[in-house]
Amino acid sequence: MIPISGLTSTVLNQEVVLPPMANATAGQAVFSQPFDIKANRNVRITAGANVDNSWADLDVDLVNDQSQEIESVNVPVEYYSGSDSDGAWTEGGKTSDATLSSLPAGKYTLRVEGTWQNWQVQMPVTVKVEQNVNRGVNFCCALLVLAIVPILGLFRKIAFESSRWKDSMFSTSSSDSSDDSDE
Amino acid sequence: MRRQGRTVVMLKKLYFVFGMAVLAFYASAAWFGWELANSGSRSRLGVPFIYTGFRGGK
Repeated sequence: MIPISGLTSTVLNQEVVLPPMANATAGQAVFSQPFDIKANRNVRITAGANVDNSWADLDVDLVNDQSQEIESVNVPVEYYSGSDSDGAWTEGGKTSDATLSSLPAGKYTLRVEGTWQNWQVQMPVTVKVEQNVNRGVNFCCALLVLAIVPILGLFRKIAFESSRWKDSMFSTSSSDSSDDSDE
Repeated sequence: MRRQGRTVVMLKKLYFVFGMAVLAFYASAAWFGWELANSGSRSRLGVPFIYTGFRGGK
């Protein structure tokens, strides 16, 4: 959330073309050009495919060129559109992303493996790797954890006040108001 | 009554310490680039059942 180590930077933005598949299940894989990843910065991988009323299921591996360690993410892309009695509708999108925690610094290559609906034709895929992405997930988690105690305190106070005023003639509980309405 | 007041003060102090610990952890996560909810398969702080992005699957 807080960009302590700088603003978002794009380290790779490339279009790779997956060749046509031999059959509907045998996926194709291509490698991107190598790029540098800096340490202590989260990584967002965005994949875009020209899908129209179809889908592409992409498995993206971040391969460390020095240690050969692999970090894998699944990035499914699907986009459907049409129109019905309620009007035009769309579902999904032509891009999808996945975010990772920071990785060791070094030179990396992306291995993009995919299967897609129209497997007889090639599939151009745009891959973008960004670092230092600002996300609200950590902030929301911290806020949620910090809010637990005040929320419990509030419930306790409400329960205490309601029990304190329970037998009072000035009580604002629903039973008294119903008595008033009967008169 | 006095004892109850002491307990409340102690709970407030505990909550303050807890809050500071949460803030320190949040700052560390921002500094080191940790993502609590991420899509990585072997992430250090990964929560495997929380994902990002569109997850349809066909």
